[in-house]
Amino acid sequence: MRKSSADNIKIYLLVTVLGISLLFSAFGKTANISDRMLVHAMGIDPSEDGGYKVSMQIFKSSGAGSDTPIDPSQPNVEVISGEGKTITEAIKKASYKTGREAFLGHLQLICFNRDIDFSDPEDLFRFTLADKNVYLGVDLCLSETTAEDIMNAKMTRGATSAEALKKIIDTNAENSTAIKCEMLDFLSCVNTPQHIAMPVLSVEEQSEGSEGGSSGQQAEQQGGQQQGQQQEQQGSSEQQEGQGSSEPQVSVSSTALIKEGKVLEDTLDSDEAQGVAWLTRRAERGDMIVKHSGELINVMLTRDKIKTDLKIKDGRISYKADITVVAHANKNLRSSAESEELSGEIADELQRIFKAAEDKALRKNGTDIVGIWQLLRHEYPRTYIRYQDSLDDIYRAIDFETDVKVRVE
Amino acid sequence: MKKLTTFQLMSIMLCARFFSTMTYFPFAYENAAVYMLGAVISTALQALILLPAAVFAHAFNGEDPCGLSASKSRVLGYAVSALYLVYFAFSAFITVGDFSYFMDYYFTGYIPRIMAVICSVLAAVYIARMKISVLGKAAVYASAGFIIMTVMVVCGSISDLYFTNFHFAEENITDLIFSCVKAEFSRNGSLVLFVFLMSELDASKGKKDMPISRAAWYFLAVKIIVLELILFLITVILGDYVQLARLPFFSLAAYSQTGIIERFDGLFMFVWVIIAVVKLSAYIFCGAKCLRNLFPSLSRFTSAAAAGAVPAAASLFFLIPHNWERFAYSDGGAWQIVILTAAVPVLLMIICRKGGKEKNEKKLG
Repeated sequence: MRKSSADNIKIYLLVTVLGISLLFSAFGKTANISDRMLVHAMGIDPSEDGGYKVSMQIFKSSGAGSDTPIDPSQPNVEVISGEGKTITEAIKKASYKTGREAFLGHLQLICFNRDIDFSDPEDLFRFTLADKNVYLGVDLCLSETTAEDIMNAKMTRGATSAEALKKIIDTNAENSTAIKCEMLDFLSCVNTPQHIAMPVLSVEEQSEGSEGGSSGQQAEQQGGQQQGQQQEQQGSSEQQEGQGSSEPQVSVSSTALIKEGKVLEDTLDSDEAQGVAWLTRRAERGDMIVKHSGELINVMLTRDKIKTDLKIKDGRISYKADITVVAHANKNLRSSAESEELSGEIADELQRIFKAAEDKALRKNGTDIVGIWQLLRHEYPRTYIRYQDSLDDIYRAIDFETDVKVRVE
Repeated sequence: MKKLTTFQLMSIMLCARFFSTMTYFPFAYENAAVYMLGAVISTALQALILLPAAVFAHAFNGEDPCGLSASKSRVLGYAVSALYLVYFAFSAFITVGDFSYFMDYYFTGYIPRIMAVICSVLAAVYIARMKISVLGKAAVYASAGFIIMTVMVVCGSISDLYFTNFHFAEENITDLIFSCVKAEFSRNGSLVLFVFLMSELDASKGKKDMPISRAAWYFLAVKIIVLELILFLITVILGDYVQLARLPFFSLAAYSQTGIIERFDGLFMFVWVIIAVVKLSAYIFCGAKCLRNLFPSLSRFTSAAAAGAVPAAASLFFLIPHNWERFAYSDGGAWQIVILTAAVPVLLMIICRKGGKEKNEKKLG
């Protein structure tokens, strides 16, 4: 049967497409995963010559063999560092040491030194803006000492060390003992007031066998356990069977306040952070200790309703937060009167921590981490435009009111 | 001969608009909330300028401007066809260039720009040389894919809404709204597609049901709903980050996550590529039709190949030396859309009605 010219054209087109696909396949510039350095966490410190020193936790599997590429009892990371005038240059210099290209798509955490200047977020985060692989919700934190110390704290909980660090921050944020900070929070402050709260991590070495050891707390098991597996020797913080090496203990020590690029001396403790978490609607649950009938009882709070509002009346600006929580106490309550009494005590305690947060963050340091300027811009745009360069005056003069309702269950 | 249904024509128009939405927002419009207001006003104006086209369609039983002008006068037919050809060729040039430029951006230079141009144009030419119903069906699947992707992105980011990010605190807000109206107008080349492709509609239901203009009204309604939703999400989730984001919708998709899928940018890319090919195919199809009006001896394949190859070659002049920014972030201008959507049909209505009146008078005489 004779082929029609249309069929011939289709064949020619198909052959052309296949030929082009094969011949022009990226011109040989493919990037295998083995040629890439998977960065899971990054620490940024200032270098001695005024630039940046970047320390990166990169993925390095510590498996026993081909069946178990990842051994969850190992940190599965190695730390490399580089220095440069910019963070991008420092990352490149670090990658030259490994001969692989840095891939930031798996970046979970960026830790900063307290001396880093945050006043120009666009410049500081240029290395992420240029790379669309970086997740906008990457967690940010500060280090009590240097960011390199946090990166060198290799933990064996989770598949990688970075996962364990992120989990520590997430757990604290979920329980409202710290305020979580994401990269998007910083990048939203390009032309607007910068008032940021950021968790501060601290690390202390612990010896194996102490309560802080992670042998019983491995989060995800991948590949299972194999007897007689060979373990790679990685660093001083690696946990090895039968040896007395130390497992570093990382914790969130406080929540730092950052205003217009500078990390303030004052920090929020866990109570004040909880107060801010409730006021900013980030809190889903919290814990507190309340004195009831002469004894201390633990109370777990869960969120019911939070409403914040800003009003301008008679020339005064007032901020009001209506917060309703459900309280679960670890004590049997015998009567509704006792329940009401406890409810009042919890409300008083909440008011106390709200006042402490307001005084520390807003009144003393002028750090608007509860978002008053955003409410003002949202509800009174003209007033915001008029006062956007003198918001500190507003923070000093604003009437701050919180109304707390507690339901004890 | 299989023709387009109303739904298919609407889908082709939506694909053309969604490609622009997915590709970029210019930096000048920093406040997405203001753009939302501008988009509503612009859509109302677009409905106004579509009225002459709708009247034209019903007055001349769905014939397109090129066909009608050719029946009136050969020179007029050539002039109108050349006008539409220039517009479609330029639109194809912009589409293939934007596709290659942003493909390069997404994959950091591992895919050569020439490769992206050749692959996309080959696929688009293949679709364009077939019957219009093929393009229509492809557009339906592509626009459905876009809606599904948008719903998934909404579900993944609904927990990160901060309504306080929504504001109108801008100085010179009136100028900003006007700029947004103009920008939104310039992104709606779909209106010209409607005027040109309405002759391909299956108008067997007749004038009573007005199937022809229904495609345009449905397009405007769906477009404004989807666009407002995307702009709203970008505003309340990304906040002031949109001032830095080159591709806000892409950033939103990359930020959204569910318990199963951590990021949606891979899905975004998949839908974006398909929509780009559909849009390019539509412009090449229309350009090929104009070429056949000017050179009737050309076959469907030759006209489609020419309508695709010339814009592709022209785009490479700017893409290869990395000079595409001048087109990527410029407003296309709204005047050519107004002329081709409203002015040309109105002019033709006047000329052809006048011609019809003279003929009738002669007959009676």
